[in-house]
Amino acid sequence: MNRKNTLLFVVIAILAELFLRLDIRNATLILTELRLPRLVLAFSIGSALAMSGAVMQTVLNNPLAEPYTLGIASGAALGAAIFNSMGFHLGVFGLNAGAVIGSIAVLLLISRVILKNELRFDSVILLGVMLSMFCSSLLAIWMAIADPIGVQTITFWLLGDLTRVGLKTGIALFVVSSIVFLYFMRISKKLDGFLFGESMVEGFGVSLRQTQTIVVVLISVLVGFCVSAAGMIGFVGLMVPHLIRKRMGTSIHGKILPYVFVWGGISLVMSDAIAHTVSYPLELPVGAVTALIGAPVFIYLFIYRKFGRGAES
Amino acid sequence: MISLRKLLVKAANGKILVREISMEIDGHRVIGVYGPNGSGKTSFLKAIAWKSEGRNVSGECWIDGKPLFLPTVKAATKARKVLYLGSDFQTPFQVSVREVLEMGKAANPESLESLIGISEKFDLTPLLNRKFDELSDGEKQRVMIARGVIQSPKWLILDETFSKIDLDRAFIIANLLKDKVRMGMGLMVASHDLNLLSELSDELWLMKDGKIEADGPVDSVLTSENLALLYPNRMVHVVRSPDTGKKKVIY
Repeated sequence: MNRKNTLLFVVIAILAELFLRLDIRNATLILTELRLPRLVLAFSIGSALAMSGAVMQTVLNNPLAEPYTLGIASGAALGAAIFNSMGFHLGVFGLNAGAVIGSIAVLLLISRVILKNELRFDSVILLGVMLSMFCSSLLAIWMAIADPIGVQTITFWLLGDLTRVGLKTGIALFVVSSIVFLYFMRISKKLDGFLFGESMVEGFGVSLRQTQTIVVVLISVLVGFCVSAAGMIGFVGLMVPHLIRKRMGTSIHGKILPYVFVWGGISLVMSDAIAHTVSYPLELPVGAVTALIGAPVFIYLFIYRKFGRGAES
Repeated sequence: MISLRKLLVKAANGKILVREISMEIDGHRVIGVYGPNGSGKTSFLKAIAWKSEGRNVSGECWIDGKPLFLPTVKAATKARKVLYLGSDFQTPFQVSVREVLEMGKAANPESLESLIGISEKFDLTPLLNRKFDELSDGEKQRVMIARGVIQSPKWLILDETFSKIDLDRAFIIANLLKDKVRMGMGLMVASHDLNLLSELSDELWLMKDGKIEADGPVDSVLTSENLALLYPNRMVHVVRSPDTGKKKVIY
């Protein structure tokens, strides 16, 4: 993993997203109105999710942590769905305030339980998975009862869709996630203190609860934005950080975060390029593509490359 | 100098783990802490480092005339004052030995110890580029003790951190730590290996039921009478090593 091939893949991903199956007759219109906004949005969301996953995994000291396994994304989807069907359209740049509220609500619930019971990190994940299922079923029920024509909308939330918002939203998201990225780089040494688990954090001179709180709040706001813009897109936050750590042979945040950020963007742009070209003119849901590619790659790495058992590939 | 005032530790279920210990602990010498399982060693040592971890800690702990437990004391300052290391070190993530040692340095930028120098002394140079999670348990403990020395806190607390280190290296590391103590670091070591503690420590504390039963210079504390307080049903003999002249236990 170095700068050169990362840059190469950025270029390949951009070209693929913009020009694959491009209709020559309306090229300019399609490029500016459809493909450019998707490119920007895909990159912003991919990088935000991958970065959130990487930081969450260390801060909760669990390789399975990501916004989805903690239920933050499901909370965001539920909040957005409720807001939408009730006719509220609060928010900026077409983003749904309900999503942000939903993700923060889940987060508050989790952190309340953590602080009250001093839960260990691994129990937090279990709690998150339960919350995630609970929110998903509430979402399904809400859609069935409150929104009779909501079948299409629920598919959007559950499988992800990058075509619903425009270029402005994409740029706004990119700005927000870049600011969060710069902040994480600034506190990267503190994040490293979490690598050896909860009991060792303070020994490295890092305040456990304070850092954890700041990080989790930032991430849930960011994920709230992402989910409200494009629905739930799983696997990027789980897979990209693990691949980068494996390739670079380190988990030190100052080293991996820039690559996680950029490769998160690349992977979602590539997935979106695949989603809208393989069955052209029909489109596949992009969340289905990331999981379809991500799951087998992950399982392969796990079984055949002794991934996660510490051996070098 | 650590001053403890009525340090009381209770478990979440109310069981008393440490019974109101008040004492002044002077630096410049190595303090060995020994006691049967469940005697409160770990709770006591963690309380000194002000790690509550769900336990209920009350009382006061002052280091060099300053309280350690105030919420205003920053984690970064605490890590320079006192560092507690246990025996089991795990990470699900990939990180090299060199990076672990660098983290020790980052936790205390004022430390004068160099990463290269300490790795030489701890015989870690061949391991520097290895992944931490690939190491054996004993190697992990050596890396963590080396990281503690690089971090150079005012007080280093090693709770069973020697448990899986081989005899020869344990001796070498013990001597390196003694050098650090001569230069001003405070060191407390809890171990189940009394024979190692007698080599390493200047003072020995015997703990039972959350209290310190006996404390003082190793020679006067390490006697069969005192050990009978801890283990009433077992005869433990104390003899002198023909080699180092230190007291050893046989049973």
